[in-house]
Amino acid sequence: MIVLMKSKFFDQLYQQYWPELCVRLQARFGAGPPDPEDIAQQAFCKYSELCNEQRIDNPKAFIYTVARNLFIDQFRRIDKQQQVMDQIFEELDIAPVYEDSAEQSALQTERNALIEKAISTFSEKQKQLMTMSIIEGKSYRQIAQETGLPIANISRTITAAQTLLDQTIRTWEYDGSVDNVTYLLKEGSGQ
Amino acid sequence: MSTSYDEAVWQQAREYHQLIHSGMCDVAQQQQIKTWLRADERHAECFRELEVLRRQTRYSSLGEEAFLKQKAEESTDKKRNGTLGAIAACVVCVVLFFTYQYTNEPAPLEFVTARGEIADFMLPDGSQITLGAKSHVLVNQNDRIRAVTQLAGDAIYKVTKDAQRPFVVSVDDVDVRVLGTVFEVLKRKTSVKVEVAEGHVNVSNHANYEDLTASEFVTVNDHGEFSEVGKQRSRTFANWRNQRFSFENTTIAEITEVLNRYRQDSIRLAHPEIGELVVTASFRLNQLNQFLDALQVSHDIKWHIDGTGVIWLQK
Repeated sequence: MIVLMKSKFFDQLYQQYWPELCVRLQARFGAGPPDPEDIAQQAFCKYSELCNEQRIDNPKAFIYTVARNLFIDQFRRIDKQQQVMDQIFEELDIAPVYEDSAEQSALQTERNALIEKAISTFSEKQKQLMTMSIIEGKSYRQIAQETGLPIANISRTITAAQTLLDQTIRTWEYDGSVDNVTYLLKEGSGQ
Repeated sequence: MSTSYDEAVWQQAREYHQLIHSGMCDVAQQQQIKTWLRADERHAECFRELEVLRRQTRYSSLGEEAFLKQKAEESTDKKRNGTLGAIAACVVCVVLFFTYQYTNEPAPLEFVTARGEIADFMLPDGSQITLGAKSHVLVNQNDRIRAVTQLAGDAIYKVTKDAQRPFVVSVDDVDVRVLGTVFEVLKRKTSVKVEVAEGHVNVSNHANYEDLTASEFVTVNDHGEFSEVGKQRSRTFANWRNQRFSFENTTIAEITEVLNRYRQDSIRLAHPEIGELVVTASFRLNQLNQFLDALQVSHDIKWHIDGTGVIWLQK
């Protein structure tokens, strides 16, 4: 909910971008539920919370990405394996994962671009299995039952895809360069 | 730390990370993983990085495609169940008047909604009216005319085409005339607002008139003066159907008057001068508390709920 925008810049941004954002969201994600206007409002709220703490170079792109991520959040499934992971982190005093919120993820534009670039080289099978594992939170047994694929095959396929993803990010972080990504993508794109 | 050691750590972290997410990690294996994580800070760092990347991948195109696919499947299911075109009325109050006893005119139909209620009605000509909370209309239709008198509240009209019988909605001394279209009429204490979703509408009173097309709106105040014709850029047409309200430079008095029709418990002003303050806000009815909290911050208006459930606003 947005009431009485105090910052003039925020006020102008809201007046200018709100209608366009609602139209874009509806065009992409439909009329709802969830209501595109609800999502748009939440995205503006998250921007208003963050923009005082850190510089956001492209507010419109950020707000759209947050809105898009909020739509994706609607698809969240209970991931038992993630719950196990959270328990392990808590037990061993490892910092919990906070970078996976809609807005924190939207801040990492370069990282997101690399993830997309890696995904674009996945085979259809890799995309399907990664979706079932990461997005739908299914175990390999559940995936095997639904697809008819052997568990070993599923494991190899997902491992290759995830290795590609993580090596892409690591290379970028350590070398500060995306030139090596092309090499890695060629090497890692098979099943 | 050498590169080969780093790579070995990453390799092991990936294997353990995959094992947990496979759903096939037994208790003994979990213990083994925890032991490895405790052995070196670097192990836990790598392991955590893999988990962060995995969760962030949810917001990739994979996540977006999964969401869109699910929406498409839900839409197909709805059509299969034949729910398209269903009109549900929560409470219908139809009263037949006998004031036309000396003519052959059928008595007008009366539709009223209760506080907090939104309902759909079908008219004899096939047109549909959606009434907002605590709203009231009279409908008079015969082979020559299709006339509605909107006495209170909010209404959406989906009018079937009939070139021989214009559909006329009268609100105070304002007439809204259409042949076939979808439009909304909001009757407020000091104004009437007409907004068109589809088609063409003519809005007139004794002194003035405007022709409106889709996405255009006009407001007529209690002096009969027409505002400039506005263009609705955002998708706010008839938002009250979803219990969402958008107010632009609106007095608190008018806001509370509208909200009180949609809520069971009233909002009251401790002093009339609070009602004169002007606000721009957009919120769902179930976000009312947040709106009131924001008023407290922006206008120093405090609120509390008394023993009977009434919300009081005071300075």
